[in-house]
Amino acid sequence: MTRVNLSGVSFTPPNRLARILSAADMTTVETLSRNAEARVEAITPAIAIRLGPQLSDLLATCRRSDPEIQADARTIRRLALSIAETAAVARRNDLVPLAIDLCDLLDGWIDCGCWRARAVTVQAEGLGVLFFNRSLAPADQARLLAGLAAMTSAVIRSARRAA
Amino acid sequence: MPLSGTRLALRDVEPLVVDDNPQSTELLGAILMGFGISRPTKCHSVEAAREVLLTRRFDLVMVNCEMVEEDGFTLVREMRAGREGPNACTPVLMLSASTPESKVVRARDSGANFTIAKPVSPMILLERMLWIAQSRRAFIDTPRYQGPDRRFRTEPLPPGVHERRAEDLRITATPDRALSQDEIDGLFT
Repeated sequence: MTRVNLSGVSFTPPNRLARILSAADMTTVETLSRNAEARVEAITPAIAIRLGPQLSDLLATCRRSDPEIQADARTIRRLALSIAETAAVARRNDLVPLAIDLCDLLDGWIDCGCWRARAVTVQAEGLGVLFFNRSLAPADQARLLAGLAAMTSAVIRSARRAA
Repeated sequence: MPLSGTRLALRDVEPLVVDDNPQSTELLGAILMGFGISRPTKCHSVEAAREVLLTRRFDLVMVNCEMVEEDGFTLVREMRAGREGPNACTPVLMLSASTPESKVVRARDSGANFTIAKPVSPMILLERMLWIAQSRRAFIDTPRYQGPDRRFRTEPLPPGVHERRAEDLRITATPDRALSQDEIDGLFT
Protein backbone atom coordinates (compact mmCIF):
# COMPACT_ATOMS: atom_id res chain seq x y z
CA MET A 1 0.00 0.00 0.00
CA THR A 2 1.28 3.47 -0.82
CA ARG A 3 0.23 6.57 1.08
CA VAL A 4 1.06 10.00 -0.29
CA ASN A 5 0.97 13.25 1.58
CA LEU A 6 2.40 16.69 1.00
CA SER A 7 5.76 15.87 2.48
CA GLY A 8 6.44 12.50 0.82
CA VAL A 9 5.44 8.91 0.17
CA SER A 10 5.04 5.97 2.51
CA PHE A 11 4.92 2.45 1.10
CA THR A 12 5.57 -1.14 2.10
CA PRO A 13 8.29 -2.70 -0.08
CA PRO A 14 8.44 -6.45 -0.77
CA ASN A 15 10.23 -8.18 2.09
CA ARG A 16 12.77 -10.49 0.43
CA LEU A 17 13.98 -11.77 3.76
CA ALA A 18 10.48 -13.04 4.61
CA ARG A 19 11.21 -16.24 2.68
CA ILE A 20 13.55 -17.39 5.46
CA LEU A 21 10.42 -18.02 7.52
CA SER A 22 8.76 -20.42 5.12
CA ALA A 23 11.34 -22.07 2.85
CA ALA A 24 12.11 -25.76 3.00
CA ASP A 25 15.13 -27.05 4.92
CA MET A 26 14.58 -24.93 8.02
CA THR A 27 16.91 -25.11 11.01
CA THR A 28 16.25 -23.93 14.56
CA VAL A 29 17.77 -20.65 15.69
CA GLU A 30 19.44 -22.57 18.50
CA THR A 31 21.27 -24.83 16.01
CA LEU A 32 22.18 -21.98 13.69
CA SER A 33 23.57 -19.99 16.60
CA ARG A 34 25.49 -22.98 17.96
CA ASN A 35 27.00 -23.69 14.52
CA ALA A 36 28.04 -20.07 14.13
CA GLU A 37 29.49 -19.88 17.66
CA ALA A 38 31.57 -22.99 16.91
CA ARG A 39 32.97 -21.39 13.77
CA VAL A 40 33.75 -18.18 15.65
CA GLU A 41 35.47 -20.16 18.43
CA ALA A 42 37.56 -21.93 15.80
CA ILE A 43 38.99 -18.68 14.41
CA THR A 44 39.17 -16.73 17.70
CA PRO A 45 42.73 -17.87 18.63
CA ALA A 46 44.01 -16.81 15.20
CA ILE A 47 42.41 -13.38 15.64
CA ALA A 48 43.45 -12.99 19.30
CA ILE A 49 47.09 -13.67 18.49
CA ARG A 50 47.13 -10.51 16.35
CA LEU A 51 46.53 -8.32 19.41
CA GLY A 52 50.19 -8.29 20.50
CA PRO A 53 51.59 -7.26 17.10
CA GLN A 54 48.82 -4.67 16.66
CA LEU A 55 49.66 -3.12 20.04
CA SER A 56 53.39 -3.17 19.23
CA ASP A 57 52.62 -1.31 15.98
CA LEU A 58 50.52 1.20 17.90
CA LEU A 59 53.25 1.82 20.46
CA ALA A 60 55.91 2.25 17.77
CA THR A 61 53.67 4.73 15.93
CA CYS A 62 52.74 6.69 19.05
CA ARG A 63 56.29 6.93 20.44
CA ARG A 64 57.10 9.49 17.77
CA SER A 65 56.77 13.26 18.04
CA ASP A 66 53.37 14.93 18.26
CA PRO A 67 53.58 16.41 14.71
CA GLU A 68 54.33 12.95 13.31
CA ILE A 69 51.41 11.47 15.20
CA GLN A 70 49.13 14.27 13.99
CA ALA A 71 50.17 13.62 10.40
CA ASP A 72 49.26 9.93 10.73
CA ALA A 73 46.17 10.46 12.89
CA ARG A 74 43.76 8.64 10.57
CA THR A 75 46.02 5.61 10.22
CA ILE A 76 46.55 5.45 13.98
CA ARG A 77 42.81 5.77 14.56
CA ARG A 78 42.18 2.86 12.23
CA LEU A 79 44.73 0.79 14.12
CA ALA A 80 43.19 1.73 17.48
CA LEU A 81 39.72 0.76 16.24
CA SER A 82 41.08 -2.51 14.95
CA ILE A 83 42.65 -3.14 18.37
CA ALA A 84 39.27 -2.49 20.02
CA GLU A 85 37.65 -5.06 17.74
CA THR A 86 40.42 -7.62 18.19
CA ALA A 87 40.41 -7.14 21.98
CA ALA A 88 36.65 -7.72 22.10
CA VAL A 89 36.98 -10.94 20.10
CA ALA A 90 39.91 -12.01 22.32
CA ARG A 91 37.76 -11.29 25.40
CA ARG A 92 40.22 -8.64 26.60
CA ASN A 93 37.33 -6.34 27.44
CA ASP A 94 39.56 -4.23 29.70
CA LEU A 95 41.37 -2.98 26.59
CA VAL A 96 38.29 -2.10 24.53
CA PRO A 97 37.29 1.20 26.21
CA LEU A 98 40.90 2.37 26.24
CA ALA A 99 41.22 1.77 22.51
CA ILE A 100 37.88 3.51 21.85
CA ASP A 101 39.03 6.47 23.98
CA LEU A 102 42.18 6.62 21.88
CA CYS A 103 39.96 6.89 18.79
CA ASP A 104 38.06 9.74 20.48
CA LEU A 105 41.32 11.56 21.28
CA LEU A 106 42.33 11.28 17.64
CA ASP A 107 38.86 12.39 16.50
CA GLY A 108 39.40 15.57 18.52
CA TRP A 109 42.38 16.32 16.31
CA ILE A 110 40.90 15.06 13.02
CA ASP A 111 37.50 16.74 13.42
CA CYS A 112 38.31 20.02 15.18
CA GLY A 113 42.06 20.39 15.54
CA CYS A 114 41.95 19.88 19.30
CA TRP A 115 45.24 18.45 20.56
CA ARG A 116 46.64 17.87 24.05
CA ALA A 117 50.40 17.29 23.98
CA ARG A 118 51.37 13.65 24.56
CA ALA A 119 47.81 12.53 25.39
CA VAL A 120 47.69 10.06 22.48
CA THR A 121 51.11 8.68 23.44
CA VAL A 122 50.12 8.30 27.10
CA GLN A 123 46.89 6.51 26.14
CA ALA A 124 48.76 4.13 23.83
CA GLU A 125 51.36 3.44 26.53
CA GLY A 126 48.53 2.68 28.96
CA LEU A 127 47.14 0.10 26.53
CA GLY A 128 50.61 -1.37 26.18
CA VAL A 129 51.14 -1.62 29.93
CA LEU A 130 47.80 -3.35 30.46
CA PHE A 131 48.50 -5.88 27.74
CA PHE A 132 52.22 -6.55 28.08
CA ASN A 133 52.79 -6.12 31.82
CA ARG A 134 51.19 -9.24 33.22
CA SER A 135 52.56 -8.62 36.72
CA LEU A 136 50.79 -5.29 37.19
CA ALA A 137 49.15 -5.30 40.64
CA PRO A 138 45.36 -4.80 40.64
CA ALA A 139 45.71 -1.56 42.65
CA ASP A 140 48.22 -0.17 40.13
CA GLN A 141 45.98 -1.25 37.28
CA ALA A 142 43.02 0.55 38.84
CA ARG A 143 45.14 3.69 39.37
CA LEU A 144 46.30 3.54 35.74
CA LEU A 145 42.75 3.17 34.41
CA ALA A 146 41.46 6.02 36.60
CA GLY A 147 44.29 8.30 35.46
CA LEU A 148 43.74 7.53 31.79
CA ALA A 149 39.97 7.98 32.13
CA ALA A 150 40.45 11.40 33.78
CA MET A 151 42.87 12.47 31.06
CA THR A 152 40.76 11.33 28.12
CA SER A 153 37.51 12.75 29.47
CA ALA A 154 39.18 16.16 30.00
CA VAL A 155 40.61 16.17 26.46
CA ILE A 156 37.41 14.88 24.85
CA ARG A 157 35.34 17.47 26.74
CA SER A 158 37.51 20.30 25.47
CA ALA A 159 37.36 18.87 21.93
CA ARG A 160 33.56 18.82 22.10
CA ARG A 161 33.53 22.42 23.31
CA ALA A 162 35.74 23.38 20.38
CA ALA A 163 33.58 21.51 17.86
CA MET B 1 7.54 -19.83 20.70
CA PRO B 2 10.91 -19.05 22.27
CA LEU B 3 13.44 -17.63 19.84
CA SER B 4 15.76 -20.63 20.13
CA GLY B 5 13.06 -22.98 18.79
CA THR B 6 12.12 -20.76 15.84
CA ARG B 7 13.02 -22.33 12.51
CA LEU B 8 14.71 -20.38 9.73
CA ALA B 9 16.01 -21.20 6.26
CA LEU B 10 19.08 -19.07 5.67
CA ARG B 11 20.93 -21.17 3.12
CA ASP B 12 19.73 -19.16 0.12
CA VAL B 13 20.07 -15.73 1.68
CA GLU B 14 22.33 -13.43 -0.33
CA PRO B 15 24.02 -10.94 1.96
CA LEU B 16 26.56 -8.24 1.20
CA VAL B 17 29.20 -7.45 3.83
CA VAL B 18 30.99 -4.10 3.55
CA ASP B 19 33.91 -3.63 5.92
CA ASP B 20 37.49 -2.49 5.44
CA ASN B 21 38.68 -4.43 8.48
CA PRO B 22 39.72 -7.91 7.25
CA GLN B 23 39.31 -9.56 10.64
CA SER B 24 35.75 -8.24 10.91
CA THR B 25 34.83 -9.70 7.55
CA GLU B 26 36.54 -12.93 8.57
CA LEU B 27 34.50 -13.09 11.76
CA LEU B 28 31.25 -12.23 10.02
CA GLY B 29 32.06 -14.72 7.27
CA ALA B 30 32.47 -17.44 9.92
CA ILE B 31 29.11 -16.53 11.48
CA LEU B 32 27.35 -16.59 8.11
CA MET B 33 28.98 -19.95 7.29
CA GLY B 34 27.59 -21.23 10.57
CA PHE B 35 24.15 -20.10 9.38
CA GLY B 36 24.66 -22.15 6.20
CA ILE B 37 25.31 -19.08 4.02
CA SER B 38 28.39 -20.27 2.23
CA ARG B 39 29.18 -17.44 -0.16
CA PRO B 40 28.43 -13.99 1.15
CA THR B 41 29.62 -11.17 -1.06
CA LYS B 42 32.35 -9.17 0.70
CA CYS B 43 33.55 -5.69 -0.19
CA HIS B 44 36.45 -4.02 1.57
CA SER B 45 35.58 -0.48 0.52
CA VAL B 46 32.56 1.70 -0.13
CA GLU B 47 33.73 2.17 -3.69
CA ALA B 48 33.70 -1.58 -4.35
CA ALA B 49 30.31 -1.94 -2.65
CA ARG B 50 28.84 0.87 -4.73
CA GLU B 51 29.59 -1.10 -7.89
CA VAL B 52 28.03 -4.38 -6.82
CA LEU B 53 25.00 -2.63 -5.33
CA LEU B 54 24.20 -1.18 -8.74
CA THR B 55 24.18 -4.53 -10.49
CA ARG B 56 23.02 -7.15 -7.95
CA ARG B 57 20.03 -7.37 -5.66
CA PHE B 58 20.86 -8.48 -2.11
CA ASP B 59 18.61 -9.76 0.67
CA LEU B 60 20.58 -8.00 3.39
CA VAL B 61 23.43 -5.51 3.51
CA MET B 62 25.75 -5.30 6.51
CA VAL B 63 27.91 -2.19 6.59
CA ASN B 64 30.61 -1.01 8.95
CA CYS B 65 29.83 2.57 10.01
CA GLU B 66 33.46 3.56 10.21
CA MET B 67 35.72 2.94 7.29
CA VAL B 68 38.82 4.93 6.52
CA GLU B 69 38.29 6.04 2.93
CA GLU B 70 34.51 6.59 3.02
CA ASP B 71 32.16 5.78 5.84
CA GLY B 72 29.20 3.44 5.82
CA PHE B 73 26.66 6.20 6.49
CA THR B 74 27.37 7.68 3.06
CA LEU B 75 26.88 4.32 1.36
CA VAL B 76 23.54 3.69 3.06
CA ARG B 77 22.24 7.17 2.24
CA GLU B 78 23.19 6.64 -1.41
CA MET B 79 21.49 3.23 -1.47
CA ARG B 80 18.27 4.71 -0.10
CA ALA B 81 18.36 7.75 -2.36
CA GLY B 82 18.87 5.65 -5.50
CA ARG B 83 15.16 5.06 -5.91
CA GLU B 84 15.53 3.04 -9.10
CA GLY B 85 18.43 0.97 -7.79
CA PRO B 86 17.98 -2.73 -7.04
CA ASN B 87 18.79 -2.24 -3.35
CA ALA B 88 16.99 0.98 -2.46
CA CYS B 89 14.74 -0.91 -0.01
CA THR B 90 17.12 -3.73 0.97
CA PRO B 91 17.41 -4.15 4.75
CA VAL B 92 20.60 -2.66 6.15
CA LEU B 93 22.36 -3.56 9.37
CA MET B 94 24.99 -1.06 10.46
CA LEU B 95 27.91 -2.47 12.42
CA SER B 96 29.98 -0.40 14.80
CA ALA B 97 32.83 -1.05 17.22
CA SER B 98 31.86 2.00 19.25
CA THR B 99 28.23 2.87 19.88
CA PRO B 100 27.74 6.33 21.34
CA GLU B 101 24.20 7.56 20.92
CA SER B 102 25.26 10.09 18.26
CA LYS B 103 26.52 7.33 15.99
CA VAL B 104 23.46 5.12 16.46
CA VAL B 105 21.14 8.03 15.65
CA ARG B 106 23.25 8.87 12.60
CA ALA B 107 22.96 5.27 11.40
CA ARG B 108 19.20 5.34 11.88
CA ASP B 109 18.88 8.68 10.08
CA SER B 110 20.99 7.39 7.19
CA GLY B 111 18.34 4.72 6.56
CA ALA B 112 19.68 1.69 8.44
CA ASN B 113 17.15 -0.83 9.79
CA PHE B 114 19.22 -1.63 12.87
CA THR B 115 22.66 -1.07 14.35
CA ILE B 116 24.67 -3.92 15.84
CA ALA B 117 27.61 -3.46 18.20
CA LYS B 118 30.80 -5.24 17.19
CA PRO B 119 31.96 -7.91 17.68
CA VAL B 120 28.79 -9.33 16.16
CA SER B 121 27.20 -12.13 18.15
CA PRO B 122 25.46 -14.84 16.12
CA MET B 123 22.30 -14.67 18.25
CA ILE B 124 22.04 -10.88 17.95
CA LEU B 125 22.41 -11.14 14.17
CA LEU B 126 19.81 -13.93 13.95
CA GLU B 127 17.36 -11.91 16.03
CA ARG B 128 17.65 -8.86 13.77
CA MET B 129 17.27 -11.00 10.64
CA LEU B 130 14.17 -12.56 12.17
CA TRP B 131 12.76 -9.15 13.13
CA ILE B 132 13.26 -7.89 9.58
CA ALA B 133 11.75 -11.05 8.06
CA GLN B 134 8.65 -10.74 10.27
CA SER B 135 8.25 -7.01 9.87
CA ARG B 136 5.98 -5.08 7.54
CA ARG B 137 7.84 -1.89 8.25
CA ALA B 138 6.85 0.95 5.96
CA PHE B 139 9.34 2.87 3.87
CA ILE B 140 9.41 6.63 3.82
CA ASP B 141 10.44 8.64 0.80
CA THR B 142 10.68 12.33 1.50
CA PRO B 143 13.07 15.02 0.29
CA ARG B 144 14.94 14.82 3.60
CA TYR B 145 14.83 11.13 4.41
CA GLN B 146 14.55 7.86 2.51
CA GLY B 147 14.48 4.63 4.46
CA PRO B 148 12.55 2.49 6.88
CA ASP B 149 10.00 4.30 8.99
CA ARG B 150 11.94 5.40 12.03
CA ARG B 151 8.91 4.70 14.19
CA PHE B 152 7.82 1.41 12.75
CA ARG B 153 5.38 0.42 15.47
CA THR B 154 2.56 2.59 14.31
CA GLU B 155 -0.31 0.97 16.17
CA PRO B 156 -1.91 3.19 18.80
CA LEU B 157 -0.70 2.52 22.32
CA PRO B 158 -2.87 0.08 24.27
CA PRO B 159 -5.01 1.54 27.06
CA GLY B 160 -2.99 2.32 30.16
CA VAL B 161 0.35 2.30 28.32
CA HIS B 162 2.21 5.55 28.33
CA GLU B 163 4.45 7.02 25.66
CA ARG B 164 8.03 5.71 25.97
CA ARG B 165 9.58 9.09 25.32
CA ALA B 166 10.59 9.64 28.93
CA GLU B 167 12.40 6.29 28.93
CA ASP B 168 14.16 7.13 25.65
CA LEU B 169 15.28 10.45 27.07
CA ARG B 170 16.64 8.71 30.15
CA ILE B 171 18.68 6.42 27.91
CA THR B 172 20.12 9.33 25.96
CA ALA B 173 20.90 11.43 29.04
CA THR B 174 24.53 10.27 28.90
CA PRO B 175 25.02 10.03 25.17
CA ASP B 176 28.83 9.85 25.19
CA ARG B 177 29.09 6.36 26.60
CA ALA B 178 28.70 3.24 24.50
CA LEU B 179 25.09 2.11 24.43
CA SER B 180 24.18 -1.48 25.14
CA GLN B 181 22.56 -3.52 22.35
CA ASP B 182 19.15 -3.10 24.00
CA GLU B 183 19.61 0.66 24.20
CA ILE B 184 20.67 0.75 20.54
CA ASP B 185 17.52 -1.16 19.58
CA GLY B 186 15.51 1.32 21.64
CA LEU B 187 16.59 4.12 19.32
CA PHE B 188 15.24 2.21 16.31
CA THR B 189 11.92 1.15 17.78
